[in-house]
Amino acid sequence: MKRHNYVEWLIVLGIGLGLSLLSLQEGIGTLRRIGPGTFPLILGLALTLIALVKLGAEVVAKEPSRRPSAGTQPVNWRATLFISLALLAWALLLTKFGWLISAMAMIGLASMAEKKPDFRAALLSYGIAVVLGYLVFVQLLAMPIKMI
Amino acid sequence: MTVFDNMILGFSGLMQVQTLLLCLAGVTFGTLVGALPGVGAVAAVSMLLPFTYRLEILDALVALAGIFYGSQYGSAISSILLNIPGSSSSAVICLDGHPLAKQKKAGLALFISAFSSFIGGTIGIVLIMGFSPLIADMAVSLRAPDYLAMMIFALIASSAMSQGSASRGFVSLVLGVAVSFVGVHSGTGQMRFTFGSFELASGISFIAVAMGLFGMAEIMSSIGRVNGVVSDGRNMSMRSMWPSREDWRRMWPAIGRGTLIGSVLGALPGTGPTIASFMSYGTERSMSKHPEEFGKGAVEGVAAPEASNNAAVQTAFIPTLTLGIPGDALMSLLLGAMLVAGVVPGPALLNNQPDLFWGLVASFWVGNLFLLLLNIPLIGIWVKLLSIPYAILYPTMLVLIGIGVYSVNASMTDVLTALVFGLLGMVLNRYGYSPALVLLGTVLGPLIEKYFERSLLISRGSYEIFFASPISVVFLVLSALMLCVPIVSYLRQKKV
Repeated sequence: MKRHNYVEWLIVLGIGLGLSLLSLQEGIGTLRRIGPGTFPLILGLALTLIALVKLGAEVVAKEPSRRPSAGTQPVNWRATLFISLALLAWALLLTKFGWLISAMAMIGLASMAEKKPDFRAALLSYGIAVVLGYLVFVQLLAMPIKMI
Repeated sequence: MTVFDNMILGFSGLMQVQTLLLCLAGVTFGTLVGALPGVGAVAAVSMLLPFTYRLEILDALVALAGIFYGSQYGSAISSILLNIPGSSSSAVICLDGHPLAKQKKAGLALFISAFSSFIGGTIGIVLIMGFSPLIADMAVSLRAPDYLAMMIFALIASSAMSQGSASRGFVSLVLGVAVSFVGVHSGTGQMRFTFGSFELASGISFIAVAMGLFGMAEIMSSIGRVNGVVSDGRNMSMRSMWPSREDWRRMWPAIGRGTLIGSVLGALPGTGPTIASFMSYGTERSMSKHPEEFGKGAVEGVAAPEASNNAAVQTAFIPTLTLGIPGDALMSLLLGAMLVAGVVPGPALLNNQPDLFWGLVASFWVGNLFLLLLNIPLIGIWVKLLSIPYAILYPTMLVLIGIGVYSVNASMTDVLTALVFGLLGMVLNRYGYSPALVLLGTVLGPLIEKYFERSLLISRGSYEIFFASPISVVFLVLSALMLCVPIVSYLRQKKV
């Protein structure tokens, strides 16, 4: 179904205006001595302009433009949640509890990303992670990672 | 001394058993680590860098250079097989390499990649040998506005390759450039967009952005969609990998153009393999009689960027070695390794330490040959990697992404950044924006800003400097023309 893309370009407009306003706070400087906000301001304004042009085009268009997401895969919310949690858990646990525990938490949570978790595959992945962690990262690459 | 004399000097330094073994080890490890999903060229070189500190400088450089171009090829493998580029320069290979893999032509895509890389790399080396003083002179004579104009052109040209609308491509680029603003402003030394966070003071890690946008987003979107085998590796034979006559006919001109673009852009400081691969892809698409095939498995879409990438990888050594200006993050790592070893890259290197310079160039020949000999017979093994069930592969990929991001700065902030960019990448993909352009913007943003500010500093605030040099004018006019293309096509569509 075709729809107008108002929301999409309003978001871009918001980003453009936000970037421009934040840039002004950073300081613009002068043409001879450019401040840290000048270049971001130019890009923020460019983004704002393009969003306004696209919004204007949507308003005057007789027919709505096609939805950009048409034909793309829907977001897999379950996978997104569990993969995010898996990486988060690993990041929080690695330095305190070591590679064995953090990798277990990561792979355990990651395996939940599938509707029907395959725990045998998860166990095998954990085995690979333990071997990789010890042989490659700790022994071969001498990375400062503790196993336990 | 003639080129021939220089190469004899180079090969005489290289023909030691230890040096040759280090070259072989470098390209092998580089390919292996680069092929691992989510662990790309930058991560590979940075992780293996400490091991070379105790070596003789030529041995260390030969090994690092081998890791460098080996991992570049390895990155293409993961781009093609898993849609996860290890480096920004191989991100563009995903666009047509991965669709080919999905069409059960992974072997063909990997063969094209290896072959194009070899041709591009070989011609790049010839150019280093024959033209290095000339190109170095040319690069020296360029000024900040010239670089700025060339980069603007590269960005606009690459936005033309984005699937869907040019406006979304432009927005993707700007978002990427905005990411690069976080941290210390090089011109004034002031912090900006850090929101008081100490962790953001050093900026947002490029590796974290790359692994998030590509690795994380790929895993999130593939679960439940990819079941086990993406490509059939069981029937992989040399015959199935070999391109058809039609493929060869389409490949050769693409390789030629890609090599040309890569050789020139690689030699310019601040450009390098990423812009080269993106620009050659854009060029192929705009010149093709079948632009609709791009993004769906066009052989030119693999051949041209791979030839370009590898030609640029070779010629990128010219500004790094002769001027001491690295073209990208990888060259910065190599530059750092040289400085640690007490070698100061610059114009004097070629005159004072010709054995080192030409020894390294000789190692490129040997390394590229090793790469070809290693990779063509091993294509079946790479493809068989995909027969691993995805339920085993994706948790392992996640582990590698986590450790790959963490290993660069030993920073958990980077890991969390990768997560944020993973979510962003998924949203971008869903709504027709280009994560590859976000990444390109992130890489080029600081350089464009630097040259913009430097130009105005030189001209004391006058914008006339941007139109003072013919090179700058040519690229600005080309940029303006490229900007007009989507407008003209929009108006034409309205007429129809």
